[in-house]
Amino acid sequence: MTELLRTEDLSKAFGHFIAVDSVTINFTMDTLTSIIGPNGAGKTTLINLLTGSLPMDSGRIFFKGEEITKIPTNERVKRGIGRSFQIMNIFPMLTVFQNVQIPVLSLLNKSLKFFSRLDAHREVINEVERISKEVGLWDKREVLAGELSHGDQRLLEMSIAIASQPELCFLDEPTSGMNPRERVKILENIRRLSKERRTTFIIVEHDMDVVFSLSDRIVVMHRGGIIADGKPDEIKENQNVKEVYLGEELEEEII
Amino acid sequence: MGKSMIERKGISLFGRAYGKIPTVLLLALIVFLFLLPHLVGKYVMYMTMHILILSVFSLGFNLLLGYTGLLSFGQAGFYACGAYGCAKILLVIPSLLPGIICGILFAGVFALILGFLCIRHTRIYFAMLTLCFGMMIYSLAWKWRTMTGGDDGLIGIPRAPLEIPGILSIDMSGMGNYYYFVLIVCLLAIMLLYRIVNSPFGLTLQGIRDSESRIAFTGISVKNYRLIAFTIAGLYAGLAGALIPPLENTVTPPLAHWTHSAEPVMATLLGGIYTFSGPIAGAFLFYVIKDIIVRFTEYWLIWLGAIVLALVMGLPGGVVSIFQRRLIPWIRLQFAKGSPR
Ligand SMILES: Nc1ncnc2c1ncn2[C@@H]1O[C@H](COP(=O)(O)OP(=O)(O)OP(=O)(O)O)[C@@H](O)[C@H]1O
Ligand SMILES: [Mg+2]
Repeated sequence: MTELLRTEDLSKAFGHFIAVDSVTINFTMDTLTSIIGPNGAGKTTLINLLTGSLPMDSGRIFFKGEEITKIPTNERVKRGIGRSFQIMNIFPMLTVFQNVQIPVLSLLNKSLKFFSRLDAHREVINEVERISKEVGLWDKREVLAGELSHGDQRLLEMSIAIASQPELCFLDEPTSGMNPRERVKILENIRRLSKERRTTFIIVEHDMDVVFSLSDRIVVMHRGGIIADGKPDEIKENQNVKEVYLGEELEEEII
Repeated sequence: MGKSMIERKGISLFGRAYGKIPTVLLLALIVFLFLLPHLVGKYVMYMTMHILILSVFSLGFNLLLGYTGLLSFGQAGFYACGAYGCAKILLVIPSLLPGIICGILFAGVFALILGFLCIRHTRIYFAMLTLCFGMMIYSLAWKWRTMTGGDDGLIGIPRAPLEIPGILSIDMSGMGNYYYFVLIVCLLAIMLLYRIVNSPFGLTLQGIRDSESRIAFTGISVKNYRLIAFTIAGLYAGLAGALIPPLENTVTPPLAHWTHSAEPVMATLLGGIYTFSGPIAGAFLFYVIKDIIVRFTEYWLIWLGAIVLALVMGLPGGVVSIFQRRLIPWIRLQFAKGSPR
């Protein structure tokens, strides 16, 4: 299997608190991986390091064999890494259409056109239309993103991420706060895109039904480190994982 | 349906109404401006030129504020670069176009260099940095006597003729001809900026304004785009400044002062941040209000400031625009609260 992304001893601390603790991991093409773990395990921080949103303390990152450790976010995106955010991160004052238009313009190297009208770029318009229709936001294309329902904002969040046509795409809790119907929509999109576009998704998710129905591989994080990594069946039986999650539940009960 | 979406222009949200202003009205306004010298006296003509110049100045400023989300308090520095640059040339070569063009370019180069140092920062840090650089230019104009004439400024700048060798030569000594020159140059500049804000580049700037962290994930280098926007704003300030010396025949250091940087801020706040035409309407209001207040008190700036404040507080659009950076994160937070992290 072709390797996409690989890390060596990736670490990040906030003050004395170690959020990511020398993580060495690799992600291969076409393997839908879920990263799970209790709150504060360091999942989002790991994504932030891999995508360049946060500077790392130590370690190295390789993407398709090339080192990207010191490369800024926007360059990593150009090489094929994308993400969605756990906390809504869209362009709230722009329309749904424009939200998707921005990454498509960038992808097709049209963002630096100063004097041409937006509608002069037919291929951009068509691509935005295709994406919006696929994810089911076409009817709402003229709505301001900030005025969408929570579920639609999550859909848009994902649309922006995939509009850059990343080879590797991190989705940070794509279904959080969604009702079951919207959840199905997101999952359908993930499955379809994995197949049609050959986008490799790495998903952080708390919903275990989603995780176990979707994933080829599951990585379990706890206190900044990886405590288990394997196929869904293996993870189900893993003693460490049981302890962590059981421990959590016990703590919750005590509280 | 799809077409209407694509055809919609300008900034969304508060700018929506702008698209509905019938083109007829706009054309009528332009025709009116062209007929103006035949309808009114010199004073109104003179005021109109200042309104046009402030419009260009403020539109450039609003490319930063309304479109890119950067509040610059130093635009007068670039305005002064344009004015001094133009004046210097006109004193040597009495020909209008070289003067104006050099003024614009001079301001553009300054904006590019200072912008490089400013655009790494945002919000209050950016505002403070630009304020400092603006005041640095002010003290330069004040102290560098041999170049700038110090507090006396540069005087006796000719309203040089508009000459293109072998093609045309138009005398500018009368106010009327220079009015037409200012009008045409400003209209062209405004049309060009309208083009820019509605281009892919303009949309990308609005993306930067809405979410810096997100725009990086579309492959855009936020710093580079900010620098380009800053330079364009500097060029526009430079153009506005360059139109001044032929009009006033003199340039003085207060052109670079921070109180002068406040003029596009007030004009833009008066007119509205999230519309393309806001700064133009604001520039008009600014001069009308100023003209009235000046009759009663010499402390017009205080009163004008108070009026701007009252208007901005009273107009919901104004408040939202000012607190945009706080309000939007707050709204996001409300959404985030509704969902388990
Ligand atoms: N910018 C920051 N500054 C300080 N501490 C931080 C910062 N970001 C994250 N942390 C801390 O690092 C730890 C890991 O956070 P992270 O967001 O990566 O967890 P997570 O696994 O994504 O959790 P969740 O499931 O709640 O999203 C948490 O304890 C968090 O408080
Ligand atoms: Mg998280």
